[in-house]
Amino acid sequence: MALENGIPDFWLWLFGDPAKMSLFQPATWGFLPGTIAIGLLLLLVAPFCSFVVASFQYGPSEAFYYVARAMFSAVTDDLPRFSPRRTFAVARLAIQEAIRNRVLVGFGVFVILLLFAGLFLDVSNSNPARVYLSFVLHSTNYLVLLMALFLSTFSIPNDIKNRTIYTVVTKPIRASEIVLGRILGFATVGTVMIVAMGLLSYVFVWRGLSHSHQIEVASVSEETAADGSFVRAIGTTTFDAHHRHTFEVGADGKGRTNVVANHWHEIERRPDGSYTVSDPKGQLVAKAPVYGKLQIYDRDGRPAEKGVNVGNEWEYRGFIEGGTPGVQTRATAVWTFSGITEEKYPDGLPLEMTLRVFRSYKGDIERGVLGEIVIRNPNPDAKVKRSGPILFESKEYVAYNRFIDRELNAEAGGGAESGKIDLFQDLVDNGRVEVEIRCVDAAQYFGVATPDLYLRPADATFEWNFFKAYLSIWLQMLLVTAFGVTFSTFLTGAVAMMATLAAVVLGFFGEFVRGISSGEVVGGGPIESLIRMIIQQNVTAELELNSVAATVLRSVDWVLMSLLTAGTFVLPDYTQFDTATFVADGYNIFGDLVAQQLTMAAVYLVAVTIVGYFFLKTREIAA
Amino acid sequence: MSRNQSFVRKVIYIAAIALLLLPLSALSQPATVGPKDRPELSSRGGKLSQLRERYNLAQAKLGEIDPASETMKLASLGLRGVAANILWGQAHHYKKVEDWDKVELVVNQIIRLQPNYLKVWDFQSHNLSYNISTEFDDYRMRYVWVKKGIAFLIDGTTYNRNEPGLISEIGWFVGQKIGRSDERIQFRRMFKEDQDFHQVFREHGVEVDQIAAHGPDSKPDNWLVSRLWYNKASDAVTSLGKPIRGMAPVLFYGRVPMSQINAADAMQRDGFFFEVAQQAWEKAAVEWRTYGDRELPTAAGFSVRMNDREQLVEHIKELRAQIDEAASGLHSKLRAEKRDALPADQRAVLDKPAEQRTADEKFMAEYAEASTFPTTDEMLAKAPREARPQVRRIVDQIINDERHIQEIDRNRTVVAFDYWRTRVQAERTNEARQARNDVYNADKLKETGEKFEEAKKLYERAWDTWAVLFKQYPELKDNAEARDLIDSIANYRDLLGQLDQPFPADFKLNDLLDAHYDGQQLREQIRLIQGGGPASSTPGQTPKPEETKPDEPKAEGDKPQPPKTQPPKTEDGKPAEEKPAEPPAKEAETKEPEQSGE
Repeated sequence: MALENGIPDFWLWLFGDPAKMSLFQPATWGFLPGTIAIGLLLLLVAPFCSFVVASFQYGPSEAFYYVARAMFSAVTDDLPRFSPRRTFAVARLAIQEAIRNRVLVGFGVFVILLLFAGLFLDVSNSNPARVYLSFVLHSTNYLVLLMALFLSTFSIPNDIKNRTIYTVVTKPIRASEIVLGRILGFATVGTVMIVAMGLLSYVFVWRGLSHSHQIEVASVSEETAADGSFVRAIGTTTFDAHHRHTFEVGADGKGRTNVVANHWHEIERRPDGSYTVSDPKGQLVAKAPVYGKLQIYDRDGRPAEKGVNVGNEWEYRGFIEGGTPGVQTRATAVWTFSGITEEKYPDGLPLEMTLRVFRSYKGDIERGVLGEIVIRNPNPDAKVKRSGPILFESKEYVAYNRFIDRELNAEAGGGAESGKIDLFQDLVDNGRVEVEIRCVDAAQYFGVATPDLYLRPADATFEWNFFKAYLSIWLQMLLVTAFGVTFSTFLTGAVAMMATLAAVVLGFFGEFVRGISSGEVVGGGPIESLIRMIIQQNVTAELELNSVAATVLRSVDWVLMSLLTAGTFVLPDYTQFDTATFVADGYNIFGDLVAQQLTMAAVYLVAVTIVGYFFLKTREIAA
Repeated sequence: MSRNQSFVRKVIYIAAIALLLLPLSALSQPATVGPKDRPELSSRGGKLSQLRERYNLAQAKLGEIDPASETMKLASLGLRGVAANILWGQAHHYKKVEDWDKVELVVNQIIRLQPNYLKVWDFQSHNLSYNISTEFDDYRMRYVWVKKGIAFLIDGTTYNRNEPGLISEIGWFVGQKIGRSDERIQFRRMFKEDQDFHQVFREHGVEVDQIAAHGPDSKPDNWLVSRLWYNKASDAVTSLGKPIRGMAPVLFYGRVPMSQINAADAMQRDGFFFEVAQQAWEKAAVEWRTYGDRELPTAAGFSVRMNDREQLVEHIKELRAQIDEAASGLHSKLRAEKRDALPADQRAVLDKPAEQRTADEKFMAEYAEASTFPTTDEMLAKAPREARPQVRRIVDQIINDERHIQEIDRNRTVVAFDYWRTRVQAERTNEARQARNDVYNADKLKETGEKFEEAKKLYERAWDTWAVLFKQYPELKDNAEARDLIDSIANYRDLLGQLDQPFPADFKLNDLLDAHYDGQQLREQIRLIQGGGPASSTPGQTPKPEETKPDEPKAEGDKPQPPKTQPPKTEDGKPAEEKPAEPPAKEAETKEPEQSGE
């Protein structure tokens, strides 16, 4: 799985990378400093804006009194007298209202989608598990967000419009309780929906991927020893679920098929000579890789920021040149792993690689490109600096397992006294060890990125990973609900819905908006884009307008884009909540990523609820 | 508004809706197929359905409608173009980030939105089979993606029935992509064994089990299977009257005999030379002749047959004789005058016997010959008054014939008609088969490093035969196809190096080497190494010194050799196969591969 934004690090995300932080670039600040900055700004700007708005209606002195009273009473009155009982009562009403509003229609749509999914899903795809999982996670995500959007934004405006709100506000109930109660109520409905959809999805995926094969009897070729005992058998399975496998069974009667459509089956030969084929294995997994830090060295052995570009538009991977190591080339890729202890890896290092290959000439296509793995000691003063090379043949687009035994061959002429060395005693230094990859075939290349070589000591359970993906959806639903309720405290239903939708869209496309603002994405801001569409002009061509008009519209665009860009920093980045790719690709969702999501959701929920409370309170004053 | 009025208005609305449903039904009623014994229950459906049937769009009948495609089209709410545009963008993005499974997914969604837009099938199948397949290092994975592209095209034929372009493209992918890739040996081998893929072909009306689709090993051969697809495409044009899309007819119809030629050629490359290959070449000759007899429409508004050229040339000769007869030797006289008026060098070239002319002289002679023919205006102007009507009539016929020849030549040039006609004739001869067999066996021996002396003998026998063949069929020498032989000559050069023998200065195929860049380079290398040996005799085509790569590692045969010829040393520790004169029994053994191959 490609991790273009790097491997998540919670603390780095929270506090920012000190090495890259710049006061004038808010994107480098980290979440916590950014939140504090925005919070402080709002604390100053919001009362001032309220004061200005109230001034028009009541005059400056009265306006000052109202704003001051609102802020003061929030701390002295509403906060200490906040009643969970009343909040839950409002929540219960919200749930009842949601059920009355036929929220179950959303669930019905989901069930219909699943029923007819067989028509749309490309089940003959090379990786059907990915297709199924992507489908259920994304459809759940969009449906739940849509439901949250409709549910949360129309409730309070309808109450105000129908004047039913007066039956509530005339009771001894606080604005904070109304806002929080609604959020809780709608979130509860959303939670129930997510749980139901999650369970249904799991069954759907499991049933969709479940299949079995028979053995093609005519294809089986069995080897027997001189005494007639069974030695091994090879053959093929029947063609089911758009594929077939080849298999091999050993003398113990057990074997497995090759990997097709990202899974395999276990095969067992019974004493009577018949065969049994197991359910598919390896489809629903959650790999929990341990990543290292990559450093590429160029052909002269100097550290390089990136590897060679072999002409790919996508610069995710850098390539290292092959050749006789140390003679034709010194190009290597070295990963440094931390936390390597005997307790964690008693038998050795379970390496897995997803390298790419680039051939500058055809060579022998019956085999892969040859490479070498060398385990190195990161301590330059260590007696034993490196192991002897371990040869491997490249395999592309599959996770290539290579277990590095604890006992390794020593490097010829190295510091080891005997021919063998021990991984932990000789090469691990303070829990750190380096893994070096080099390409041996001259003028052929290996493509590497940080996540292309990792340790895979044990996998997480798929079900837990699946749960975490739904947790991400749940957090998104909470955010949309909170935003919807807050917007609905001062806007009419339709406008509140549009505002919430805009917040979600801006949250999903924040990077794109910032790209337009910085000029990385061509085509200009909203006005320029509109003109280009009308006059049908390519985004890369210079705008055919006179210079004065162009300057004016670009200035307007600049103002609009600055506002939008500011909005992207204030609103939650929903792309951070997209974990469907992890589950679909069979990777465990990083704990750091979950922590990020929980932190973001908590901060936004608190902030948005407080804002909603003040708006509703102000509205009460106005009423 | 009274309640009664409201009710009346509702009734009117309902009646209007019901009335509108009638034309709607007439327009969009789907076709239905009744049971075989009760054909009267079948219906051609509404106007839209009939139009679909006429244009062979698959969704004409109930049951053929793809629900996913139709639902996606409906769900896009008239924004199908926008949706397709976004998907195309996604497909490009996923291709960029090497997420091939998602490319395939998105491509399958695109075709559901645009199932009758033929360019989509063309473009995306090429994307899968050609662009994505090469991204994989493992040839097995490449083969899987080549198949995906072919299966994608086959899917296209279910949405666009009897579309000649699509069907012909399937043949092209099966033939060219599997048979001409760098991995062709592996691809062809896998194709032969790929029974699941054969089943897909069977399900779509291409019977790969017939003998006509089988290679020498009685398994489906990709070239012969491609021929079946081409035949199917030709049938769609000739029997169903479908137009040929985006391809000249001469190329479209030429794919059938070319696939037979490629199949015969591939058999020889696989080591099958005699009975099976002979039959394949015989069949290729028949198909090429049939192809030459096919009427091909031209842009000039008339049809031509490529085989008619020789007949037309003869006819023109007869017509010119008739002019001589009608106007007392007018044509011959004018021609003699024009010949006398030629510059001296051109006259000299024409006087020289054709077989003694150099390449430049041949070109000059053709030009001079052509300029000796009097134009129609000249003939009319010089014809006696009383013979003019008759001369005019004959001249008109000549003009007409020349226009036909012009169009035929245009088509012939496009498909190298003359070369392939000669080639199929030559390959049918025993000499050609023997020569190819010798080269194949010699290459094998050279590759395995066995019996060098025997390999040398085989090579030399082959060169002798090839020299005779090139004399008999000179067109074979100049075509790019002959370059394969140059690779074998390079092997021979290396072999001589292994045997410490120089490359012969009077090599019999020097003409072939001079006719190709690779050959000229080879001769130049030999000249540099052997010192003053045979240099390229083609003026102006000698490679410049910087074009040779002195830094590249050279084969042992490239090492400077003493000019003297010495018998191979037996005491220098080299393998025993360097010993001269293997017993005859061993020679027979080396010929076994091609026999067993049959």
